[in-house]
Formats: sequence, structure tokens, C-alpha cells
Amino acid sequence: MAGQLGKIVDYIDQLQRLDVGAAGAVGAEKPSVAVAAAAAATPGPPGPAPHAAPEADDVPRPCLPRESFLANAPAAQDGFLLVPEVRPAAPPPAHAAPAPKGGGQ
Amino acid sequence: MTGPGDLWELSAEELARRIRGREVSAVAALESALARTARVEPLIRAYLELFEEPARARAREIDAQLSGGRGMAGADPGPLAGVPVVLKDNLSLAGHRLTCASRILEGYVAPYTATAVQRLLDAGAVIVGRANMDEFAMGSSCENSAYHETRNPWDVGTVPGGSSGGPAAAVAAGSVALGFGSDTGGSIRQPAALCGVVGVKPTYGRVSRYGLVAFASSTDQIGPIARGVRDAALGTQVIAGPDANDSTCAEHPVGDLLAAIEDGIAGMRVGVVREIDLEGETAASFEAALAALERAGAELVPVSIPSLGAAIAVYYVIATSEASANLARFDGVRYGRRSPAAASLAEVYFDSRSEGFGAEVKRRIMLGTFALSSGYYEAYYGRACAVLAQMRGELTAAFRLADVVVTPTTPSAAFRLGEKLDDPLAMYLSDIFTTPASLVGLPAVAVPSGLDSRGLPLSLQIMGRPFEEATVFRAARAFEQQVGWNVAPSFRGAEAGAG
Repeated sequence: MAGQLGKIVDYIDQLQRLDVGAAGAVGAEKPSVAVAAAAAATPGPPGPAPHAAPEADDVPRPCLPRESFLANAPAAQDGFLLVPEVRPAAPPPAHAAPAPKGGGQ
Repeated sequence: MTGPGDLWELSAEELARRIRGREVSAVAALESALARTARVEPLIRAYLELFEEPARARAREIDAQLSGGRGMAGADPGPLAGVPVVLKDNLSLAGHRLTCASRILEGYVAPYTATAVQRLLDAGAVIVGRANMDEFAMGSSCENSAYHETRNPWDVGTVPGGSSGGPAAAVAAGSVALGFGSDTGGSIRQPAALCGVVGVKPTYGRVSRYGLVAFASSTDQIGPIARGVRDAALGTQVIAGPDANDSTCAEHPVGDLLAAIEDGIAGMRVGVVREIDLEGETAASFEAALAALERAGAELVPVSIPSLGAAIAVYYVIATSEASANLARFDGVRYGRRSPAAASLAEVYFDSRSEGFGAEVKRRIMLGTFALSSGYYEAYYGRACAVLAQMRGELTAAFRLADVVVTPTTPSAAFRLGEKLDDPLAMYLSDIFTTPASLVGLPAVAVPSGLDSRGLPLSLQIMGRPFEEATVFRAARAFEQQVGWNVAPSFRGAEAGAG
């Protein structure tokens, strides 16, 4: 796997050698604007993208009941997802120093 | 005259016409498809699951709807009335299993139906099953399925392509007339090419992604696979259009994609990319395709996309980056498989993902995580975005000169099973011609262009301007008629032919 990944990264490194001119500024374009830019490729009068989705009204809409989602959970209880403890109860690690006995100050 | 047992041979359009006209029943159409499937499926293994009984119930429902009953006039179920279709296993159908061909989604049942799938149902389609794919749509050969490989109906020793290899093989083998898959970097077009069928990647935003399991959200699109261009246009028509559940789905009107499909391409300007470097039979086939387009009346114009050679590098940075984020949700907590050995929450995450994902998915998650990591982000992700901006500019310029732009769909015909399995980079390079349209969001159709000397299909890709699917289909239809293509795979290498 490491060898394959190395080969792929070496291949991708060709991007460093390309002259991208003005577009070379980091962050010049992010794929998230793909739709708007795609619209810009369409000949026609400038203006808002002809197909831009309108902003949705900011009101809650009904969604599927909790049970239908929890039905797919590997474990659930009382309407919540159930997972093992973040830190399971375990015996103290072998290298831990035993608690001091007696002694004291 | 097509007999009841031969209904599987009909196009979706013709089958729906006969069912709507009550010349044949939806039940008869389904039984013909299931009988054909029983014959070819052992040879190609295109399905992960057949929904035989639910499909029969659904076909009876369509017939009942058409007949009305109690003296009432029947209702029209829609343009895909009674047409059997198959879904790639990353499209949600409520109440049915969905695995993305991954172990990590074993046992998952879709709680809701994808918008595109609901539109198929609303148009009268009968869904016959879940088709195989590369795990999480990552692959170009369908060999990355966690369940089994699928074989190419033209030669069962070769791959069907991927990631939508299951739907492409099923459609090519005659199991169903229409399949639906997803295309992120070529995952509909490349398997369609290798299986000798038509595959459509619509404009980004043309089809809702609601209910499609996300791989790379900025390029994922759902599209049809069919045996002919008219059916491909019909399938696109049914699933396209705005959707309140996907804010990236465009309001742009769909129009009638079949209205002008037979109008021909006299005077259409077809852009030919100068930078394409082809060898051998692919080169000869591409030259022949260009000649066919000219015979149909098109004017060939040279266009330039100098960044074409970097498309694979850009794509594998951007798509893996998005995948590394999108696949974080598979954690063994909310759905899917949890490692039985995990004793702590950290082990649930680590073990479930280690055991649940296959090698290619892990490879891409690691690549994407690397490309987005502090210290490397600008060098990889930032750089890929800059090259993408340049590519978009080049394609925009090309579409000022041309109405459509053509390339081969793939650099070669189907390769042997296992041939590229140990060399992921060689596998990635299968996508050289399909990734630009994905990255830039353009519509593109793969149309069969002939056979190579081994008898395996080759394909032409036709790209269009955003939301100009109708123009792309018109060109594809004219080209299809010039080629005179017949989907008749020979099942070479199978012990018993399925003819």
C-alpha cells in the first residue's frame, strides 16, 4: 500500500510543474462553485446564473422519525445511539506504580 | 413480431408504449426480463440482489392501474410504465438494503427513497434489483466490490468497467432496458463504453443527489445507462429537474430532451481536442467516428484543452479530498457494521473502519486526508483547484468555437480481469477522457463507436455546454445512426453462450 500511495503522489506531483498563470493563486477556485462557474460557460447575457437554486425558506420541515434512523444503528437504547465506554474499565497498566501503602508523610 | 418471451429485447420507450397501449402487460414484460436475467446472470454476476417478488407485485399494480377496473377508465402510470430497471447499489430505495458494495454497510436498509428513484417510480418503472459496483463508486473495473466481481458480457474474461459495472453489464446483457448509476469521474460513461451501451453523465445540478450515497459531492451525478440514445434521453428526462431536498440541484428548466433528438447535426460544430494522444485501434476508431460525424453533416473544428493531461491528477486530489470527508460518517456508530471486537469507542471507530472498508477505499481516504492536511493543503488541494480553474477556462473557450466537443470515452476497450488490480495508477488512467466533464460539471454522453479487433466495444464521448443535454443527445443520436450499432454481446469465454 505504501508503495502504491507513493507512486500515486509522485504522479500527482505533476501539478506542481504546471504553469497556471493567473489561476495559480491558491484558492482561485473551489469546486464548491462548480455550478456557478459552469453557468458562466453558457453563452448569454451576464447576470445571475440562470439556474441558481433559490434560497430555501428558513422554516423547519418534517423529517423522518427518529426510529427509522435508529433502526440502522448497530446499538441503540432509549432513543439514543449506544456505544461502548469512551475509556473502558480495565486493570491498571502493568507499568503503573502501585499505590503507596501506609507511609504518608 | 416480438413474442412474450422476447419482450426483454425491446427498448424502454417501445416497451412502455406497448404496455401503456395494453398490447402487453407489465407482468409479461417483467417475466421476460427475469427469465433473461436468470439466463445471463450466472455468466456476468451483475446483481447484488434481485427484488423478484416486490417487482412482481409492482408490475401487477401497474397493470391494475392501466386497466382501471370496475368499468373505470385506466390511469396512465407514466412514460416508463412497466419498464424493468436496475439501480446501482448506492441509490436509496426505502425498505431495501443498500451497501455501496461495501462490508461497512452490511445490513443497512434505506430509510427513504432517492429523489431520482422516486421519479422513476412516479413514471411507472419497475425496479428489479440492486446492481454491483466498485465499493463506494471507487474503481474502474467493478473488481473493488466487497461481494463479487462482475464480468463483461462481450467477453466474460474482461471487466465491465466501473464503478457502475453492474448496471452497465445488466443492460448490455439484456437483463433490463434501463439502468441507473452515478458518475463522479466517469463511473457511468466508462462502463457504458466497455459494455457497448450508452451512458449519460448529466450536467452537475441537472439531477438531484438526494438519496445518492456521497463520494465527491462537487462532481457526483446520477444518470442512465441504456442500449440506445433515445432510451438514455428518456431516462434522463424522467429523473432530471429541481428538488427542494438538494440545494445544488438547479432550477434550470429541463425541456423536452426527445423533441429534437432526430433533427440531425447538419451544420453542428463538433470540437475535436488537439491534445488527444491516441494509439492503435482507439486512434483508428476515433478517426472513423469523426468521419461519421462529418458524413452526418457536422463541421469539425479543432479546439484546445492543454490541461487535459493533468485531469487525472486534479481529479484524484479533489475527489479523494471530498471522499475523505464524506466517508467519515461510516464510523460503526450510526449505521452499518460495527466491529464485534471493539471494546472502547476508539476501537469502534478504528476497527469498524479497518474491517469494513476495502483497500481502494482506504487508499483514497488516505490520499484525500493527505491532500487536505496542514502543510500540504496548498501544494495539493489548492494547486488542483488552480489547475481546475484553468481547465474550466479552456473548456469555456472551446465551447465558444464548438457546440459539442468529442473525445474517445476510454483509451482502450475492456481490459482483462485482474490486469490492473495491483496497479491503481494504471486503473486511474482509464478515466483520462471522462474526468474533465466531471470536474467542470458539463453534460457528457458515451456512445458505442464500433468494435476493436478482439470484438470488444469502443466508444465516443460527446460533451456539451452546461444544461444543453438536448444538443448532446441530438449529436449522439445522429452518430448512433451513422454507426448502426447493435447491442449483441457474445458472452465469449462463457461455457454456454446466452445468445
